[in-house]
Amino acid sequence: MEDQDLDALFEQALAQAEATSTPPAPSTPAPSGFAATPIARGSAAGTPGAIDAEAIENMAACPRADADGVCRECTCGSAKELRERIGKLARDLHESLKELNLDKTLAEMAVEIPDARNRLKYVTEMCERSAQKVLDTLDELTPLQDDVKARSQALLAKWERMLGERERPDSGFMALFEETRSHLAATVAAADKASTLHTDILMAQDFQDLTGQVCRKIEGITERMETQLVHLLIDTAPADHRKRHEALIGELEGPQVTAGRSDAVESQAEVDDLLSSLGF
Amino acid sequence: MRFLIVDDFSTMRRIIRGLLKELGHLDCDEAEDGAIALSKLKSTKFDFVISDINMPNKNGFELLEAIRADASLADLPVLMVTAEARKEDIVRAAQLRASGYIVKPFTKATLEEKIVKIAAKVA
Repeated sequence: MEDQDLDALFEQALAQAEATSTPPAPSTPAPSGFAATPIARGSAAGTPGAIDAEAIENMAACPRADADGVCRECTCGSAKELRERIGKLARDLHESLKELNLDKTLAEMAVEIPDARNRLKYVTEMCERSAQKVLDTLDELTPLQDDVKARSQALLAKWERMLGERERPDSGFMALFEETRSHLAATVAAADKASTLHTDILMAQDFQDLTGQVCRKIEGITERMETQLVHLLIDTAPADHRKRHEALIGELEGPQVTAGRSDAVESQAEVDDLLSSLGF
Repeated sequence: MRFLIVDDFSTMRRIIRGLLKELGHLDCDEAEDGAIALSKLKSTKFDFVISDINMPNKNGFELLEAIRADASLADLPVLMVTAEARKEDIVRAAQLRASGYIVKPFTKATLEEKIVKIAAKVA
């Protein structure tokens, strides 16, 4: 979260606190989006000092040390105490996020998860494309192989018949016949072996089905993580930004397959812009 | 025999079709999920269904359930070919009266054995 966003949030909380005359501190509604945020540090109740309107306005722009100094000067009437508590809460929240580097980490994760999912989808598509290409090649190769086998078998049969019809073939003829018959028999055997190998290649393509199912499951997991993360980002965004984008984002659908949709982003740049407009 | 191959992955449909061809079964059609399969089964006569389980729209269990619930399809042989290897899935398939269950990856011999066995029961 950028400093100006924290400041805006703080101003909003301040205005809300000022609009409330003397509410009991524990039941006062927190700024929208921070209702469930626990108070990380102790209450400022009892802190001696005085606070005035100018000091409150300056507090948002002040570095933490200066703001603390202002707070220490505050007096503790109920309205003033409330302002002080809200101011401290906002500062603590911002400090905690910054100390843990969560503001940037969350924003980075929101960008990285869709990117990871897209990469996984790319792997799935490439595997499927490769498997299909192998199957296409086999579809072309198998009939060629079958044809070679069938023609070799037919030719071999012709030779056998011709030999049976001749009474005394000369030795040169017999040698040529044996050589041809041997070649044809080897061709038929090779075709049978090739056919078995084709089946092995065919079956080996099942990796695409098996890995594809795993990839789909991981895509589903990352999609659910992304949904939770984006909702978290929305919940912790300043109220005005949140209202603007809640309706737009809604329930996530995962990878977009339809181009030109007005309710979906189509590039990483649009994702970055959206996150940027949310204050991240 | 006329076969219907049901799987959301086209690669697996082609593999099974190729194996069936090698086994001498040339009459095959394909469906990419259970809903499409059920629609085809109601409009065209098939003798044998080979179905995946994990599919969108209507999964293999739902397809099997719908087939068994339809009087005109109830006796159709349905062989499940799936990567789901959990015992509870196999038991569920049996309870829904699947004709056989093959876990991927499988071999040509396994497919042939199951088809022959199931076809013999039907005959």
